[in-house]
This record gives sequence, structure tokens and C-alpha cells, in this order.
Amino acid sequence: MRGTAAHIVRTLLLSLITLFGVSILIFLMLRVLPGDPARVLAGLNASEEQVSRLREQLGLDESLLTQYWGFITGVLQGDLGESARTSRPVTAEIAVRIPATLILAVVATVIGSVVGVAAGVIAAVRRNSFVDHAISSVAMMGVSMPVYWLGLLLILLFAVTLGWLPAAGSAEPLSIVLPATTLAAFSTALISRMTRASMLEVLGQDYIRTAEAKGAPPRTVIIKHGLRNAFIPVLTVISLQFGALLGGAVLTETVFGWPGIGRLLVDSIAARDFAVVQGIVLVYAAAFILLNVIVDVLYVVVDPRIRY
Amino acid sequence: MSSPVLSIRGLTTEFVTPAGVVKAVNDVSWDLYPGETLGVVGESGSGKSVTAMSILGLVQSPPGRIVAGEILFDGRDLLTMSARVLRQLRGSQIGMIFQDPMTSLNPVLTVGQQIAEALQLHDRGLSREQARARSIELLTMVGVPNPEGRYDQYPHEHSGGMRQRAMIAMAIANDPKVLIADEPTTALDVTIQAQVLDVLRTAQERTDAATILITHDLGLIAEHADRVIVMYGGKVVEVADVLSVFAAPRHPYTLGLMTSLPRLDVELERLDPIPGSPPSLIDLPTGCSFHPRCRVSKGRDVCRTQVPPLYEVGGGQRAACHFSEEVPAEMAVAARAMGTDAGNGAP
Repeated sequence: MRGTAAHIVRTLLLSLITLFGVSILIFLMLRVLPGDPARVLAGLNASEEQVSRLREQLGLDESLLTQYWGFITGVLQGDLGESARTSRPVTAEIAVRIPATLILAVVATVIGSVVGVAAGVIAAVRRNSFVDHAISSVAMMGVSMPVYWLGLLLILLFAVTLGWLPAAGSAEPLSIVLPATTLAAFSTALISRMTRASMLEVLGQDYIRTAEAKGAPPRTVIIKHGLRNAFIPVLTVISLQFGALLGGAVLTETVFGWPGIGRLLVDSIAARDFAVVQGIVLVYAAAFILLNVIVDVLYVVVDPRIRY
Repeated sequence: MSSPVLSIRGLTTEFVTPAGVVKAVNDVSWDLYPGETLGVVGESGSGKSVTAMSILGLVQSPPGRIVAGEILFDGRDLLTMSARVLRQLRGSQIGMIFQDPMTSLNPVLTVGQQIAEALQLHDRGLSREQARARSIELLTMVGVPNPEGRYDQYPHEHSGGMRQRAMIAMAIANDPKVLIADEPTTALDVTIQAQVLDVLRTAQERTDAATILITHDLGLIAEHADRVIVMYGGKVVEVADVLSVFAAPRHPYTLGLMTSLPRLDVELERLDPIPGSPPSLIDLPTGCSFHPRCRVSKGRDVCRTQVPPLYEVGGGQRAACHFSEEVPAEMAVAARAMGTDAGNGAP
């Protein structure tokens, strides 16, 4: 366990370099985007004078190096700057949106993991049966259907036709059901395919035969001896999916009017609100690194052969 | 002799493959008596392991299927009993030791947990502590040093020899009546093999289990078995007590196995292998399936046209050969070629 602690500290220290690189990249990428933020903010009818005043106000007339220095020293002090649109601190803007995104990602990941692993195990145990083929077909649909399309279909059925669930927003507790289901569809499909493949490999191993020779009933063989071994690669997929859901829920958030961070990011890019975009990207990067560290620790828990 | 603890009658196990039906075990019958060690020899693909898997009901289906025969254990047919009842026998009445201890233990469970599981599966009333204490006792019995510490270690922290000891502990945990050891030392270092075999013998003496020792190693048979069954192409070709087999084999294949062994007492230019290769189990040769490789047959028609039954050849020895009476003469020829006395054929 001491090795694991040292590994975590090392990973976190190394990640500082990663974050530094990310900050430079996103800073430069925003600057090469076509379109002048000052002009976008000032509006179509603004005079040249107004635009240049705004530009000065935002510090955009200074050299890139000076601008970056201002940005990075702010970051180190926990200050991500101010939104050009709302004039509120970027940290506040992000903090308001994070809970909605986080809860959506967590619920979708939980759905995806539970349903995906269960479906994958059943498909592996009953391989080449009708059930296996049915699960494969549904999973194929889940992987290939665009989320906005699936989202609209679900809204049409459950909100409009049946009226069981709210169509959009986040006001009611049940509001999360449709966006989370939509978001979980792809993960569920992916996780079930991964689980099936991994289970099939594990179920052919010698130690499965040993467990059977001991007189273990099928459930014990499949869950205790099979799934624990098969889960190791599945864990990787689940964590990657969770990371993707944290950042990639833009379409789902848009379809369902979900006030998450994905929409804030897209809106901010459209408005050339540099400070907000930079802030969100940095937060994403930090979250991904944290997630990887957590998964590294989980590997140790699941697989005793892994030690750092 | 007392009545057998395990009787196999006409066992036929097939595998359906795209290339055709593989007859892995073909009308095999034999008995296992209490307390004895029965050696089952034969080359790869002779049906030794599939016979063992058939006894345990662990033949993967599909592609495998047992198409005929019965396996009587304590008078009950293992092949027709319910899965649940068979499961209760597996690991309690019939213990199994597999070939490769490196892959036969679950990597994510401690060695101790896996032994304790074998106990708890067949004794629901056993508490965690009791199972642990008994497992540590078993580890001690199979000669694992520092058993308390070893109990909590994972398989990857054990050497091959230690793992195989743990496998033996697991197999004998519930004092089985029958112990099946499928090539128990093949995957181990030569220096470890002898130790593991000693452990196996001790374990067997403590539990008084009748043992089926599956191997391709005649030396192992000579040292450990009481009786021998020789398999070829999915069939039993010779049955005898161990002394008779080595003194006077009556099937040309058994003779071939013995003369192809390297020997310590004779200077040989080269080994004397059995010519040809093992038969295809999809398309067995007609008649006696050994005839294309046989040096006794000498092209006689009956070998090609008729399947030889297991003939009684005297002294409880049986051989599936039309010309088993010619085998001793052939052995003398082989012995002369080696410059040794035929009577002391034991390796």
C-alpha cells in the first residue's frame, strides 16, 4: 500500500506538468480562433471606438505573453478570471454548473455499469443463444444511434405521448431520468460488449474449471470466480466513459435543456468568452487526472497482482 | 478384491468440431478399487484427460457430449444424476488435481480462501474461522512452510511447487473417496516433481482415497501405480498390474512406449521411437487403430479389418491385440537390440 501512496503522489506531481501544457494549448487555440471577442461582445451595432474600448478592458490589446502571464498567475492563485459576458468570476460560473453535470454523469455511469455488466455477463454465459443475439442487437443500436435522436424519441414517447416524465429542465427529481437514460445508452452498450468479451475469455480459464471441480454452483463460478477477473478491463472502460460523460454531455444537455457545464462551454466558445472556456478546459483536465488516479487505486483493490 | 469404488462402462465421449466428430473416448471400461492407485498412460490425445473430465461431468457442452456408457460411483450413475447431486459429489467425494498449477488457481483470491471455499461449499455449517483453521491444517499437511502466512497470500506470490501443494490440499480437503490427478507434475521443475509426488502419496495415505494418476510418464507409473491402464486413440489397449506391464507388456503399443524411453543403464546411439504419429480421432484407422504403426501386425489383414476386444491374457492382464502372444518375442528382439535382458524391462 505504501507503494500505491507513492505512486499517487508521483502521478499528481507529474500531472502538474500536464495541466501546464493544457493551459498553454487552450490559451493559444482560443487566440487563433477567427473572430474578435470584443467585436462579438460589443454587438453588431457597436462603433469602432466602443469595440476598441472593450478590447482594452479585456486586456486583449496586450501581447500574448502578457496575457498568458496574467492568466496563469491568476490560476495559481485560484482565480480563473472573469466572464466577459456576465462579468462574474469564472469559478462562480463553473461552480454553479458543476453539480448538474456531475449528477448526470454519475447517474448515467451507474446505469451504464449496472445494466452493461449484467447484460454482458448474461450474454457471455448464454453465448450464441437467442438472449445473446438479442443483447448484441440492442447494444449495436445503443452504440450507433446518435444521442440527440435517441433523446428526441424518448421525449416524444415518455414526455409527450405518455406524459410520465418531464421533457426538459432540471426542476423536478424525475427530470434526470430521460437525459441520464439517453446518456447511458452508449456506455451501456460499450460496457456490455466489453464485459461479454472479457467474461468469455475468463470462463475458458483453468481456474474456472478448478472452481467447478470443487463443486461450486454456477452462480459462484460466474460471479465470484468469473466476474471478479473479468472486471479488470471493464473497469478501464467504465472510467473512460465516466470521463467522457463529464465533458461530452453537450448534445444531451442541449436536447433536454439541462443546465450543465457542457452547454456553458459551447455557449462560451460561441461568444468568444475566453476566460470561461479556459477555465472549463482546465477543470476538465484536472478532473480527468483525478479520475485516473482513482482508477489506479481501484485496480489495486480489484486485482491483487497490481502493485505500484 | 473388494467391490470397485468407481466403475466406468462403455464410456464414449465425443466433440463436435467443424472438421468432424472427434471420438476422444471410445467405449472405455475400467474399475477403480478402494485404496489403489490406478495409472492411466497414453500419449496426448489418447483420451486420458477427457475420461477424467467425463467422470467429473466437466466436459464442455457444446462441443463435447457423452454419447454412451455409465460411470458408477458407489452404485450410482454419475452420468444420469442431476447437476445438483453431481455438484455435491465433486470436490467432496471426488477430488481433482489439475496439470498446471500456474493457471489452475484463481489469481484474485488468496490461496487460503480457495482452500476454505472447497471446505465451505460442502459443509454449510462451517464458520469462517473453522474453515481457516482447517485450511491451515491442510497446508501444513501438504508441507507448505509458514502455512498461516501462506494462507493470506495470492497465487502469484507462490512458486509452482507451492501452488500444486495448495491444489492437492484443495483436492483432499473433504477426504474424497476418489482422487484424480491429471498430469500433476508435468508443469513442474524436475526437482519439485519428486517432492510434490511425495506430498500426493502422503495425502493419499491420510485420506485413503483411491487415486487415478493420469500421466504420460512411465517412470511415474512404475513408482506410484498399483495397476496400469494404457490408452491409445480413445480406447483402452492394455490393463494389468504394474509389475506385469513392465515385465511383460502384451500390447505392441505398450511395448513401443517402453522401448522408446531413454535408459540410464544402457548406452544408446539414439532412442527407438514408435514410428508414425498418433491417429486422427476424427478418422480412426479401421480395425485396430494402432495397426499402421505396429511392428507386430506385419501387415496381417485381421489387424486392418477387425477391432480387437480386450482379450484376457492371463494373470488379470488384458490386451486389445489379435496377436498379443507375439509381443513377448518382439520384446526380446528389442531388448537384444539394446543389449539388455528382457526380463528387467522396468525403467
